[in-house]
Amino acid sequence: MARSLRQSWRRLPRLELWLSIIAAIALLIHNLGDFKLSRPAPPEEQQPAPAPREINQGDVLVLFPVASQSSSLQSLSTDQLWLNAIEREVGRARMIEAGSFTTNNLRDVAWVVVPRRASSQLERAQIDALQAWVNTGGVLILEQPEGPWRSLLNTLPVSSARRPTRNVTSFDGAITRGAVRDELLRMPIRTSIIPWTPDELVRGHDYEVYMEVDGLPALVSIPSGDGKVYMLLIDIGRAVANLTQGLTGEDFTLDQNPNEDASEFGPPFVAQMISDPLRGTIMVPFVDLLLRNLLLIPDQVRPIARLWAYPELHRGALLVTRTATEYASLSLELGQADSSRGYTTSYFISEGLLAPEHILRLARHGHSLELAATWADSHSAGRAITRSRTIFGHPWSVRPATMREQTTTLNNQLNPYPPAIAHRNLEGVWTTDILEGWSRLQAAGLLLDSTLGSDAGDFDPSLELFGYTHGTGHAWRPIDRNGNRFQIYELPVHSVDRNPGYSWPRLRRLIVESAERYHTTIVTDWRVDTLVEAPAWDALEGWQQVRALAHSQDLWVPTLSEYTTFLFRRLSSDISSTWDSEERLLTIKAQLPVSEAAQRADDTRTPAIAFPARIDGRTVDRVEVNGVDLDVNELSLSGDRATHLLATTPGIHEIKVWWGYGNLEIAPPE
Amino acid sequence: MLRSRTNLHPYRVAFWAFALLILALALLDRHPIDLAAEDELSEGSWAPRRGRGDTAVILATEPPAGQATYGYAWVDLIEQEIGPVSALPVDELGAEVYQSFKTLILTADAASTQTAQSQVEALERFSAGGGTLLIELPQGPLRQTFGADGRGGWRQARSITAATGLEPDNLESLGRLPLLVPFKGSTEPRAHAETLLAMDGAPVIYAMRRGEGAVIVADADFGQLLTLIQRGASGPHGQVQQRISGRPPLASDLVSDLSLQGEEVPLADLLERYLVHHVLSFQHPVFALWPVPNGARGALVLSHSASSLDGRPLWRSMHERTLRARTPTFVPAPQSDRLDQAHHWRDEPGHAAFLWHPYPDEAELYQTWNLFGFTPLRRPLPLTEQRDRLSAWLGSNASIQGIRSAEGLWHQEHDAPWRAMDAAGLAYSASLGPSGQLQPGILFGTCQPFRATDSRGRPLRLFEVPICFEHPSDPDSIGQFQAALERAGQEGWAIHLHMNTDGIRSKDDLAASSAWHEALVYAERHQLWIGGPGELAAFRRQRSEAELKVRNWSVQTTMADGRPRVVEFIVEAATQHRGTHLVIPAQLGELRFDSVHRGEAAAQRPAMADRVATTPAQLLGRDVRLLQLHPGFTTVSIRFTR
Repeated sequence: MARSLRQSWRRLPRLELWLSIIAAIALLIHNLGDFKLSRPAPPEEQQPAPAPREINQGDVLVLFPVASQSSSLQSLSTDQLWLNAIEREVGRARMIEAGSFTTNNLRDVAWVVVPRRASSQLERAQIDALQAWVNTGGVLILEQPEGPWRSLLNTLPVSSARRPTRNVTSFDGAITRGAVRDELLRMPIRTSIIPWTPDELVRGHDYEVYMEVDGLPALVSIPSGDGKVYMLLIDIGRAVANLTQGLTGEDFTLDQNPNEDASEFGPPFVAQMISDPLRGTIMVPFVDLLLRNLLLIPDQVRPIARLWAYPELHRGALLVTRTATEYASLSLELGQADSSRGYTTSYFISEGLLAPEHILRLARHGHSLELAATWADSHSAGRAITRSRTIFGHPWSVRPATMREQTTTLNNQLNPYPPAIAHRNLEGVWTTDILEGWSRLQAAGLLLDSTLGSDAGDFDPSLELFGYTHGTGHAWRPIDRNGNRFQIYELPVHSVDRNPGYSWPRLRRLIVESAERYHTTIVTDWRVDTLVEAPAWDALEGWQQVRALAHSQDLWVPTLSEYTTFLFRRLSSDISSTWDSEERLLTIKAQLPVSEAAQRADDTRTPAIAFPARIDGRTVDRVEVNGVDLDVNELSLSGDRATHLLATTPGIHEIKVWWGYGNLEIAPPE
Repeated sequence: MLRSRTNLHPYRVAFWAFALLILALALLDRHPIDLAAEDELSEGSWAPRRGRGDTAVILATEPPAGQATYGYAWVDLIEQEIGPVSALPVDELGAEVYQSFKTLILTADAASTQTAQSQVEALERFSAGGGTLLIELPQGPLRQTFGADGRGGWRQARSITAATGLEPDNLESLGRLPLLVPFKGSTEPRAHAETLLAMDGAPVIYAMRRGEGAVIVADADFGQLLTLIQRGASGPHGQVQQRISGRPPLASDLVSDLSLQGEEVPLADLLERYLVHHVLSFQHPVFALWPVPNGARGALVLSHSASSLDGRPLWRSMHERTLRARTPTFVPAPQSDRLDQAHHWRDEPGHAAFLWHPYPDEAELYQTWNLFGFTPLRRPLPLTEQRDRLSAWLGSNASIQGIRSAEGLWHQEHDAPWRAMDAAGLAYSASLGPSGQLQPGILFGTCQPFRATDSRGRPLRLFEVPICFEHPSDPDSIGQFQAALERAGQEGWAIHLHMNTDGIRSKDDLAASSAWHEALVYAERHQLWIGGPGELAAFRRQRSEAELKVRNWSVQTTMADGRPRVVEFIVEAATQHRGTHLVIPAQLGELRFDSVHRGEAAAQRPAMADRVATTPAQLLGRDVRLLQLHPGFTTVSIRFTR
């Protein structure tokens, strides 16, 4: 047996065996040449949204509830979204926690906003103080009140009868008229309403209905002494959150996407965050329109002054951004083409795709350089930004780079130019837990994210996404699960030239209507790869013409860096007013600071000041700025003709506005 | 016994056989056996052609093998400038021809035949009876009867120095025309002849009034001159002479004269227009069909090419469709014959035309045969198979009519690409144009369609529409293109712009795209016709199939000194297509255009109700009126008054 085996072994063709083994090894080496060990991503830094701090300046006081961690979307407190609304429409709001609220906090206040959750945390004594204050001429905006409010309202909605809503069905109280008001009636409103039909009150006498949702009163006003209570029977905060922040699962997560053979699941796309009714081409900023109209109504009781959302008398803003993914040399040439026409662009730069000298050259030309990043743990295949360990210069193990690492790398490359402040995800994807995304970006030191909104067809190449897919044309601060607002702003993209919904005529309309109707900030993304991979006339024409169109419409065309700086400067400005109802005189005090660094950089833009164009049908009779009369005929009007605009300069100003008898055909009292 | 000695085990044999097979296949995969493939070539046709117009071009009968004739350039010229034309062999010259036509052009080849020379008396009668006779290079009795003495021999002129009736600007342009053919000099001018065109001061085209008609003599072979400029020049036996050796011939190697580089005026078109509207109209007005669709004052012809099928190759054509233009984008055949690729633009196959690789091996276009994943055998795809593969890829809605030779590549045989395209049944080609090292410009003297010919001068069915400007990206070429386009709008020329539709990857692409954008805006603003070469070739074909005849003309009233005071022309026109316009000269000697009335009877009793509106236009510096022709038969009386 042993001999036989030895003979067999001898018979074995050793040369062929060795050749086969060598061939197999060569094949293995050939196929594994690019093999690298893959290491998991390190945990990303996160920074939860901070609790709001008390602010004691401004005409509008917003009470916020005691923060509590919510485990589900249903229990999330959206009260602080009111702060977004007030900051957008009026300027910085006064803020105080509901539990700490006292009569003293009502001094020099024109309006008080009590959101839904805060309303249930007020004690009887606090409500009594509010009632006394309303009787003296104050305005109270109350959202789905719960608690001991009966004494103030004479009746109380029964919260247990709450039911879901669909659409606004009438908005007779809207200041906006004509076609824009008709747009409001198309607004999808996915929230809850408490049916309210008080038998003991008479409609038209004891209360008035300003807005109806699904045929039920949604906004009513109840007079109280010299003041008025505006009661919202819908949960506006919830409606706004659903549209702007997006609909998610109950646990704040988005569905992951299976790959082609369903063997793996990829990260969710930002397009999935868009609320169903807004998934398409949306030419109306429903949220902005609704909130502006809500906040214009109380002016008729107690007018206030507002900080306009833009500097000088600009009627809106256009942010031209360019996501530079590949084709580095073209990015540079497009930047030079813009520079040669005196334009600056905000570039979202992805690590490793643009040489450091090219980044510096773009920065030198005044372009704003921002971060296009991938999530360390949830990026699509093929576009990971990594960190590797090497042996003799050969990388043997790689891991995804964290958000902070990507930010630091770009900022180092940008030195000595200012660091990146904004972020856009390179692949249009988001974290599975949507709140975690903002938390990570905030931890990385970024101030603004512009990923949400229209995409480059990443989610579905045939899905048209264009316009106000998050219902807004303004930057807003998202709400964390504890109900607090993140510090980082979210500014959704309205137009991506790669998306099938994009067309130049559509963008033209968006821009024109922004100037004439909505006064929004339009964010466009002209992707570098569009011109290379999917060139189109509209993409080329749009990019070349968009800024000229925006300038012709009196839109402000800043870089993201300039825009964000202005956003924070506006929030650090103070505006307050006193109202003399006898003389119909509004005295406005505005403090508009500009830092020394900004002054050195010749950036002294301050927001314009807005005040109602009419009070009780009376037009503005006289305006005095720092003791000097202005020609009222020269006053600029907002597109909805509801407010006048007054350009300002840095510093402290006192402005007096008198409303007279303008259009009223009655004789003035003798 | 033997097996154990040699160690020749069966599995060992199998191993080595398998190893050798894999090795052989791997070697063949890297260096496959290439099978030969030839393109099918068609022959030009010399068949007589009867158009429904007043002009006939008399050609030689079938040219002898190995010899080229150039007479067909006159047919092309009349077709381009007037519309309907007849091309008849010289042996058909007879009473029927003299009665049927008002203008006869005896080309150089025809004029050299005995048949033509034996018709001198008949030709005299024809001209005396009111006909216009143009004889190119008359010989023998024809020269004695009609021409100057011709004793000066063949002379090579430097430039055209005089052209009667032509304004200085156009004369200066015509002076730049490269004179590639000699002219026949004479020791003295022909008596009673008026010189119409002179080269280096010597009369080359002169005309004499005979009775009611005229005889015009051209002492140079203008057919050959136009053929060389438009179709390109080649060496002996039709071989293309490459300007740079070591690479395949390019279409730009056909450019007849390097002085045409940077040219902004279509010089061949200018000469053709001069020959028709100044020379042939020496005695009688020439009524023509306007060369641009819809009576537009000029044409911007657009075509595009994409180097691959990926991305959005048709994007420029798709945009131009919004301007009601059907412009082609030439796309190559896919390298694989697998049809599983899905591209949304395949829904728009109407815009796709065929980008032909004349050297398919360089473009990896093969028919392959595979074995175990190796490709040991392959065959380059000839033109028809490339086209068929593209058609199959595009789907059933594709109807490929146009072709362009990729990268301006040509063949050693001058006429071989056209003959291959013609054999494949394609309608038009946009292959000639700038390529290689030459500066851009109107290198072939025209951007308008002309019928391609084989090396013997016989026409093919295929139209060639030369490209004049190719993806202009530097300031000089953009400036030249814009100047040419502006001139096209002023003088009714067509300018053919060809763009690359691959992605915009560089500053040059951005600049070229801006030039394209501005051209479209300019063309729209100045109401130029915008369309593709196929559309223009189709319009050309429709015009040539239309009818245009002057049935009668008469002097209605005369002055006291017997000079005519009012002259009426009855013109019959018939077309089946919209967008055709009749060109009416605004001035006939001392007479000015007065009005057009519908119908023949209107000549006697003109009524305001029958009056037809015309619009003013310019043709080679002369005022003309354009009359829109509706589909169907139209008879109008055109009145000129003093």
